[in-house]
Formats: sequence, structure tokens, C-alpha cells
Amino acid sequence: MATLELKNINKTYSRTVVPVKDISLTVGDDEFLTLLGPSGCGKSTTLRAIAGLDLPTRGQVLIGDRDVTYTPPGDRNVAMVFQSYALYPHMSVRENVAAGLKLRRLPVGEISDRVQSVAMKLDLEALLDRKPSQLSGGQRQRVALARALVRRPDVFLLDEPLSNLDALLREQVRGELKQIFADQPAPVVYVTHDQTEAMTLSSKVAVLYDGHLQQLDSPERIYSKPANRFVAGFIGSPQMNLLTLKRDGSGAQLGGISIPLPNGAATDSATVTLGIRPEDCVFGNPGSADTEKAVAVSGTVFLNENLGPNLLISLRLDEERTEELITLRSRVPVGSVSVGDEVTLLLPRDRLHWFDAVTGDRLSN
Amino acid sequence: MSSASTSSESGRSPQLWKGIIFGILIVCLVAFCLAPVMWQWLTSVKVNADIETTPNIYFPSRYTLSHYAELFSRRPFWSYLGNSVLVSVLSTLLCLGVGTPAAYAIARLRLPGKSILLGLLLIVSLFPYILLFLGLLEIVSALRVGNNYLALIVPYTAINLPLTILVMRSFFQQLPLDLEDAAKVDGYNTQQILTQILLPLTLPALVTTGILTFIFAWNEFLFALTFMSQETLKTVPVATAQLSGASQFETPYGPMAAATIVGTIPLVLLVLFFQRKIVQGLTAGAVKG
Repeated sequence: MATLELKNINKTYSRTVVPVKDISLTVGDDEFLTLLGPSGCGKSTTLRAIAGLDLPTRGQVLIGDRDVTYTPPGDRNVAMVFQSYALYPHMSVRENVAAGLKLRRLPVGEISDRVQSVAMKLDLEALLDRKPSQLSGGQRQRVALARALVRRPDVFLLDEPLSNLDALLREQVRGELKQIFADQPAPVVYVTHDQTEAMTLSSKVAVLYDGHLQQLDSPERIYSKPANRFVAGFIGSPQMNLLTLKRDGSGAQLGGISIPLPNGAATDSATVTLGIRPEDCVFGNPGSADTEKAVAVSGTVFLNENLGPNLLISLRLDEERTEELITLRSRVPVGSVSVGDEVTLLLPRDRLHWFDAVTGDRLSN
Repeated sequence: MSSASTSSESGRSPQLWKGIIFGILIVCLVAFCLAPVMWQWLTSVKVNADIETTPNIYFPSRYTLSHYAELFSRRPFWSYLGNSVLVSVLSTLLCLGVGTPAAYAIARLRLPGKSILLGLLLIVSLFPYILLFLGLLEIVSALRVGNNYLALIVPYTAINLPLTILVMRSFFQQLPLDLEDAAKVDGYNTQQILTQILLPLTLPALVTTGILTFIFAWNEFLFALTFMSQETLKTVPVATAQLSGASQFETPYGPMAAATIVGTIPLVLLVLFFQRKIVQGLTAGAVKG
């Protein structure tokens, strides 16, 4: 099949409106890349540049070894699934699915074979002669998917295909999507603002913010080794605790304890950001804490929120030892604490993330 | 029990009265609107004696179709009808054919000075067309297109273009952009998107504006009277107005009424035929609804 490559893609609308800034990435065969970011981060613009619906101001789009930067969308051999499905309302499901093949003048026999096989795969056989207006939301979504699959394109592009479905259906379709795209070799580029979709579906995630590529990595590494403060705060729910701490020589001050910064952490600023995920904080005793492996901090619970499987507590660290108010959130078993309780949390040292307070970049290791 | 029945009766009677009053109002409204047409139709089937009698009689004592027969035997009424059809159909098609791509371009492309263009269109469509008359007459005589169908087709098209463009533009703007993007990715080129995706969806709008243009062209009198003096080129409204009686002292009320009825029938048929198309909501289900 083909590899999709973006080289220094820029999109500028005016001097102040620059939705995409210098994005380069590669998606190979059997890869599922998700462009993830908050709204306005440039992910849809990037996808539209790959599809050819918007032209980049600078940069190149390569499919295989073909430079398609200025090729019309129809000649790129890419297929796209739109958030609104964008089915042709005056055509039956069969005509909708076959439209792209007919335009490419495939033999009639092959068109009907391909439509039949994709309809069977997506369970659309009974609906082939209906009009889109006679279908439910989930069925329309499957038709939009069929329209892309039947083309057997070099690259699949999906623009938030699940966001118009209700929560229950979304989870089910998400699983189906994963199986469908695992069965075929062409690279997939998937745009979403939903981190669960990104984590579950992708083999690679590209986190975008403010037009810049923040991190391009496997879902595991995006979660365990966020490249900067933005990624750390964006990925993971509930959000990672991000504490701004005072520097103290080669360490940082938290609740009267000096925690050493990782080796080789080069930063000149007077403060540093410490990150720890709520699920990594565990209960402990102040005395018995193994200070080699974990940092123990004590505080008062001022808020607890029941998430179902566990409890999210918010802790205000003891004031006599800290100069500023620091709050920390942790996931603990349901019913273990209530508001006003004094608790001690252990922060395992190998789960601490350090970020430069000024640039936001990850420090070292 | 008794109280229940009285309450249900008293509950029913206001409903009943509402229905009756509603019915009466509908009948009044319909009578008010259709009275002139009814009067023309009744006149067209009266014998001359009934038409001229005083005081007026509303319903004929004897029905006759002689006025209709006279229309076609003494006058080339088929050719008037033919002229009207030709001029109206051609100017309608021309109007849609030029106006629709223009409307699409204005709706979708980033054109410099687009708002000025739209403002001009609006001004032109507000302009009373009678004021164009003298200028047009000069142009027609200078180009020597008097007694030529073009002398009617071109002005009718020009007068109706602004409205067509404005109506079609607002329809194109309502269509979801994703639909066109999907078509582009599927491999349709711009012209195919317009003809195979968008036009089927804008059919209701096309029919609506088409009918408006057709009615205007069919009923237009002033240009048709001035630019066409040759008998075989006249359109129905002009011919109807110029019907003459057997002698110069007779006003041919009967044939005029018959001509009016004959001239109205094509319009009524056209609207009835296309109304189904207008009513159908074709865009339902394009995107998540």
C-alpha cells in the first residue's frame, strides 16, 4: 500500500490566524494515527490538507512517493468519513456507496461485488435500497464508513466520525471501527478531541495544540511519558496533578521535603512543575514511608467525588509546612475517607513527572 | 351522569361552532379570490344575449362553447399560445441556466466585492421594470430585433435573473458544505457536483423560481405589445386585449373571457403539476437530522 507523509505543513489565514504551524509526520501501512487536541488546535485543518479540501500555505503532502500537495481531492485516492456523514440524500444507500467507484469507471460487475461485500461486512445488506432519510444515526454512520471502505483507498481519513452518536452506541462502534481497520492495510488518520477514542483505537497518537505538534508517540508513551506540560494535563482523566514548586539547589520543595530533580535536568528558573497522576498516589503512613521509593505528603481532604469504581479526593496540603496553598487529587477506594479527614499520600518517585515551569518541556529521562 | 352529559355537550358545542365559523370564513375567502375567475368563466359560456342583458344575470340561461370555437376559428389563437409557450419556456430555462451557476458561485466562492454585487442585484430586482421600457425600445429598434422572439426572451430573462440568483443563492447556502467536500473526495469535479449532487437537492428551489419566471413571462403585456407588431408573433395577453368583434360597434366580451380562461389553463396545470415537487422535502436526511 502507501505511506502518508506530511512535511512541514503550514496553514495561514492571516498574520494572526495560523491554525497549523509546521507539522511533519509519517503514517505507514497498518498504522492508525490519531490527531488529538482541543477544538481549534488545527487537527481538522491538517486532515483537510491531507484530503486536499484545503491547500496548505507551505509544506508538502506525500502519498506513497507521490507529491499530492496540489492534487485535487478526487485524484489522491483517499477516502474520508465526515462527522456529519455527508451522505447524498437523493441517492439510495447502494448508489451512495457505489458513487466513488462509478466515477472511476470500474466495471459494473466489480462495483456490485465490492458494494455487496462491504455491505455484508457492515451489516447493511437489508438497507441497500433505502434513502439516507430512512436510516437511523448509527446506520447512516455505517453507510458513510462503507462509502470509504468500498473505495479501497491509499489512505483513510476520519473526521470525528463518532461524535454524532449517543454514548452507548459510540462505545460499540468504536470497537467495530478498531476491528474493521485492523483488517485492512492502508494507513488511517483519525481526528478526535476525545482522548478515550485516541487511546483505544490508535497505534500512534499526535497531540496537537495551538497549531503545533506537541507529541507524536504510541498511546502508552503519551500516557506514561508526556513530552510537556500540555500533554500531561490533556491526557488522562481525572487530570494529572500539576504542582508549581520552588527550586532548592538540585531539588524542589514540597511540603517541607526536598525532592531531587532527575539527573541532568537543565533548568535555570526558580520554579519547576511537578506532575503526578491521581491514580498513582496511594495511602500511606507518614512515619513508615519508604523515602527511597516514595514521597509522603499529608493534608486535609476538602472535596470527595464518587467516580463509581473509586473516589476522587482533593487534598489541601498542611499549611505549616508549605508557604502556598497546594492541592492534590488522588483516586482511592470508595468509602475510605470523608471530607475533613487528615490523610497521608505516598507519591512514588518513579511516577513523578518534571516539567520546566517556563517552557513546559519535560525535564530529562 | 346527567352532569357529565351536559358538560360534554357544552364542551362539544363551542367546538362545533368553531368548525362552522371556520368553514364559513374559508368559503368567503375562496369566493373572494375566485370571483373574478368565476365571472370570466361564466361570461365565456354565456350566449351574447345573456352577456348584454340589463340588469346583469349571473348564471347563463343557456350554456354555449361558441366563444371558444370562435377564438380558434376566427383568430390564429393556437399560434398565440405557441408564441407564449415558446417565449416563456425559453426565458425560464435561460434564467435558470444562467442564474443557477451564478448563484452557486456567489454562495460558495470567495469573490472580491461580493457584497457589492449582491447589493446591486437587490437594487436591480427592486427597480420598476416599466422604467426600463423606453431604453429597451431604443435598443430593440437599434438592434433591429423588433418582431423577433429575442426581443421578449432577453428582457424577460434579464428582469428575472436577480430574483433567481438571490433565491438560489440562499438555497445553496442552506446545503451542508460537508456534502460538497464528500463529493470532492469521492472524485466529482465542480461541474458534476453542481449537476449530480446539488441540482437534485435544489429541485424545489429551481421549480419555485422557474414558476415565478414563467408566470411573469406568460402574463407580461407591455413589452409584448410594443416589440411584437406582427400578428403571427403576438402572445396571448396582447392578442386577448386586441380581440375585435364582428363589427366595430361590438365589444367581444364572450371571446375575451374565453381567451382569458384558455390563457390561464396552462399556468394552472403547470403549478398543479410541479406543486408536488415543491412540497417534497428533498434534503431531509442529508446530514444528521
